[in-house]
Amino acid sequence: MLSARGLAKWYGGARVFEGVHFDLVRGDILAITGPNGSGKSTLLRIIAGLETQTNGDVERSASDALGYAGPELGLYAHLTGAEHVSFVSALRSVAPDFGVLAYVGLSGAEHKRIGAYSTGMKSRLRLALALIGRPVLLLLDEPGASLDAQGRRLVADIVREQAKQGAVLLATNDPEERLLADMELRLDA
Amino acid sequence: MRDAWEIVKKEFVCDMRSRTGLGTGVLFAVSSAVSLGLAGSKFEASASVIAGLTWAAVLFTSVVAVSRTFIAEEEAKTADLLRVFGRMSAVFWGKVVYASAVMICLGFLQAGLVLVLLSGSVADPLMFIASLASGCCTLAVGLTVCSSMAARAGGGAGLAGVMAIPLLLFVLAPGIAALRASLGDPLPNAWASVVALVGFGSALCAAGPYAFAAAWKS
Repeated sequence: MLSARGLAKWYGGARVFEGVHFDLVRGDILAITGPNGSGKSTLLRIIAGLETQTNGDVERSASDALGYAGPELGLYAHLTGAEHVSFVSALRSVAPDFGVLAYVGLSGAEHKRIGAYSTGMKSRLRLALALIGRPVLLLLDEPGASLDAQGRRLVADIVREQAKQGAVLLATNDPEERLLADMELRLDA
Repeated sequence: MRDAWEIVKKEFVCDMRSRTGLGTGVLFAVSSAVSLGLAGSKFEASASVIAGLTWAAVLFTSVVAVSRTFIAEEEAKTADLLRVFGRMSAVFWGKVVYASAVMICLGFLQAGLVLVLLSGSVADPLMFIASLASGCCTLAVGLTVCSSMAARAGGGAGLAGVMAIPLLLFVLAPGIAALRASLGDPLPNAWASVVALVGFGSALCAAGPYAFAAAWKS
């Protein structure tokens, strides 16, 4: 499903990580851990195609849809939550399922603009957008970082459900989120 | 096609609600046309003067109105959302179509105001429409491509404008010639200028996706 071989990332002369190898198959949950600055988010962004690696290869089936949720994923301040779902569904060529907003706990906030959302609500919306189109591979970057206890349970539910239909790559420093995974890749700064 | 259309709709809704882009463009278009009208109210402007002033104003309106399209996406980090969920071609063509629609609206608004305020008249409506529409679309395509490159280079709208101006100056010569002819200035082969505008716009449309792809993926 996903294979990384000898991945390395350098910013100028500064090494972020190198020699990263892993394989993911359906049902796998891989936690990427490591101290701040070790490249967890960068590794996820490389796999999502948002950054390019300095060395190494990422092999992924082009037909496998990919979902990505990270704290740096921007949202349109002037669109509502429901409009985001509608927009991303159209980009994914699937019919919009607004039930995903209720699933992530945004009932009642569907028609509020993102400018009026709290940080936690934005994180929930990012999770909802990542689930649109039932992705085979789900990349979650610090998914519970700005969520309350209920939100963290939601993340656990999403990760377990996703493992039934595909695989999850989870960048985290949260010990509870780490326990959701059956494999760990530790990056050292 | 549907995903490109969704980009157009998203651009329109965000523009209307944020009052940037189109709003700023309308303000600039009206204020510059009124300034030209006030400055020229005491003399009878010739077709060539009106055509030159109109295109100069439209050129700078385009830089104000549509050069921030990708820069705003990068600043708000929504470009990543488009990269993760959208197809690159849909993003490009959605942005180009919206920028073209905005520029056609602003171009005709501005040209109409300049004509009224400088007491000009249209002798050949078909050429007037063809020259303005093709010129505005060409400006929109050029600025969209330059905006994508400036955004990835970490520059602002100013950089996009600086990058675009040498490219867009090629619009001015045929644009002014065709507009002059449409306002009654007898010019031989005036339609050749319209063809030149369409050809330059088509060339930008053909090359634009490649330049955009390089900037979008880098």
